Amino acid sequence: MTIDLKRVAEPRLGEAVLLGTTLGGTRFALCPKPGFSSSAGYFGLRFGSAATRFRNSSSELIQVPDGSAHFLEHKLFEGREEKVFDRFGNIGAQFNGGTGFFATSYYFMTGGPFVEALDILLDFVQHPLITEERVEKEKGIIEQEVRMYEDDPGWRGAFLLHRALYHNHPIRIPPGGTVESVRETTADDLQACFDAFYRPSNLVLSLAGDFDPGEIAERIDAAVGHEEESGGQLVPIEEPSAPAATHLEERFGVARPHVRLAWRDATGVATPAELQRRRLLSSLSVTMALDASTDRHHKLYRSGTIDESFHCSYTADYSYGYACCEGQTEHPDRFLAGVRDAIASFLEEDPDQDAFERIRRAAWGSSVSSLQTPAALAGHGLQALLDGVDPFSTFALLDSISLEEVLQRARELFDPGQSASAVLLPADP
Amino acid sequence: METTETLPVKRALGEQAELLLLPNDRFKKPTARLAFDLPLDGREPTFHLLARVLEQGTAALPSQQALTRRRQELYGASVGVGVGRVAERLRFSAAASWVGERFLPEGVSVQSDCLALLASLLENPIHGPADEPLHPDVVERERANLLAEVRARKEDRSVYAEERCLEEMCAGEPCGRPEPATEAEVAAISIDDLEDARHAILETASVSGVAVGALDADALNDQLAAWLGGASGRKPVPDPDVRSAGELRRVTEEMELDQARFVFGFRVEPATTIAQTEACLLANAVLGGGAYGRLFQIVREERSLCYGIYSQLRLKKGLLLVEAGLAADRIDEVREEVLKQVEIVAQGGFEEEQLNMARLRALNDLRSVGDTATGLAAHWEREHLLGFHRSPGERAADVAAIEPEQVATAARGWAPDLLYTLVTP
Repeated sequence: MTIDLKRVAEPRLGEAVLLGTTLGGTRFALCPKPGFSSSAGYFGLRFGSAATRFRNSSSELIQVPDGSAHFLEHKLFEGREEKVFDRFGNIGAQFNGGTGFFATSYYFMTGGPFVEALDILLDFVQHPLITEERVEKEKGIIEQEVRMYEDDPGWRGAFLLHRALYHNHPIRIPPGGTVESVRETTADDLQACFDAFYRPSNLVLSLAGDFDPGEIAERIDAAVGHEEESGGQLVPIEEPSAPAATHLEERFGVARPHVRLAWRDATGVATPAELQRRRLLSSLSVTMALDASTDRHHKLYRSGTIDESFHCSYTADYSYGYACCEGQTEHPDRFLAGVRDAIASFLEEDPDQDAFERIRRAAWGSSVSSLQTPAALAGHGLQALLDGVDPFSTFALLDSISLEEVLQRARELFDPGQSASAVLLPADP
Repeated sequence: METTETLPVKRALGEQAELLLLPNDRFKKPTARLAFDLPLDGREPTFHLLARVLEQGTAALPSQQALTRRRQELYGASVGVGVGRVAERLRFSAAASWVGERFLPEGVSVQSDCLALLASLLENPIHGPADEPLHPDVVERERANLLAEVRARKEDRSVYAEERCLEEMCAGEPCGRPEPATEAEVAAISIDDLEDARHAILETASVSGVAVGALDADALNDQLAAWLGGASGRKPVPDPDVRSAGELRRVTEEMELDQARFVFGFRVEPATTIAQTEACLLANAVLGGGAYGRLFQIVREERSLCYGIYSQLRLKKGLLLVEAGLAADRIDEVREEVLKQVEIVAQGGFEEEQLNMARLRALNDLRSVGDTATGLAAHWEREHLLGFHRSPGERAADVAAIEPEQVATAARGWAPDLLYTLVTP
């Protein structure tokens, strides 16, 4: 059968994407790039490391060890009969996967045959073979991966902050889990995750390259499952409304303290559009407050309170969100007080329309720069599908928002009562 | 013509200063990259501090804040300088990339302003209040920042282990110096040293530039020629000294770690021809160039000894490094397996399928090069460094012609030199 394709374009970028849905409910985005030699495909789903408690399609409550989503990602790459490494290797394609808190994705990039690479991607993600023997063999490898991240100060500091911000939320635990949770994972755990979530209606696919969209749409429809039954349901995360701790410290092998100061955001966004809007407004709030172009940043930098390691960001999903300022300093207390004062002063100052327009202009430039290659377009398409929004809708949103909306968001976000800090201190005091 | 077949237009900006131009409308963000190459003669710490100082602003934009605002006004253009080692030479780089005209409001173009800003970073730094060529406060602040970077080098265990392996392996050679510097070296740098280094970049460094994308090529050439064309003292940088391996040495150092680090250094016989070069690159890919390399397949997939194991080749200097993160009690097993796999490649004992995978991956990457401005720029920078000047398509033909025996011959030129391991006490 022919699948209806809806065209979504961003004329200023000169890009267009065709959106479709298979009979089984798999949503996909096709970005034709005539004349380009490379192509890319991303296959993903909203299932990540946070999903350790869920109800399966029979409504049974399932509890799996931390890191199960990531372990499952590893096992999918083993393939059924032939390793995925070899299959992609035989056509010279690059490939990898990634597991986040709320999503898992698999991708290829190639200057070689596109359709063959697509067939491999569609096959291995949907048809794994998970056995106890295969799971046991992988434990040593994943244990080393977990240990590798444990040696990274950025990683350690981020999860120390998550433990300060949240009491129970699964983002307190790294996506790979712990050495102990990896050791206790079984084939049954992984099969339960796969059966509950790797279902056609949960899967999304984004492709970019020089191909015929109609032919590819039919190929996708033929390759993905058509079962329409519903999949697993996550058990809601119960989380008190205030941070778990106002300040946490840990000793680690760093040369000087690594400091993070964060403001936990309120939950309450319910729709993809609301989440998209919150992310954009919050990111702009953080930029307006302490970007390197601001007087506040300039003052902190010149006084030595912060240095080039200073960085601010915002991250969120439906069940969590926070703004964070981080940096390295010999004087954590001075850093924390200086950044808090800077935020307070930002909230009190008069609106700066010129700064807002300048930052919006730079944001447009960054967006153009980030969507240059088929791989970048396919990755962008996958994120939009996972978020449930149209691929280029952020650009219209960026045009439409006002400074007052950004400042209102900043007033909500930078609530001192929702603030927490985390400091990695050098191991040798 | 395909972008992978197009040869760049070569323009002389001046003595020992060359620009390759590849105008092409398909790229949204044009890029212009300039490499100022100097011998690695012990002044590397000075150039690292200089790069930091120059990034703080210009006489007209005398702060990081003013500079950031200017970049934002230029639609988020990226304009900056940096320093690093390439093939045992010191490379001071200056690069700009900006949004192409067709994605900006009608009549707006930022190319010329971006290049002017790039030039002023090097030509007109922030002066001191007493007419010092560089502002003393800025120098002291950035000295403190560089010292912090030096003290933090152990924080990235993987990079630290690689650097320590190179320092031990190449002790006494220019590339064996600690990168970016020692604390004592940073403390000793004066404003005069920095100013000498800045003049060396502008007056004696050999310059190679690449500009790719939707750009006004003539205007760009004229602007860069007006800036860089006047210097008469530019000198080429000699090729590095390539040394042979000595007796295999082992260095073990201790640090609190969750995972031990393993870096095995090999000396590589120089590759002087195109065929030798491509054969050596394919041999490296067969050994440990990716998930289909023998090391990954056997050490990780068959024996579950580590999460990642890869090899990287530094062709010009003649070095091959095999790196892994692993449990400390598996180090000897991995060392033996690495030596065994190198020997298998050298004896031509690899499967034809493995060579085909490595070759296909290289060919696919070369086909993809033409899809990005940065990919094309990097390709031509590399060709310039190697002295080959092939289009991606021409290089692909060379890769396709390599025989298995040439790959084995290349690997026979690898000799183990030093095993560095970083372990928990």
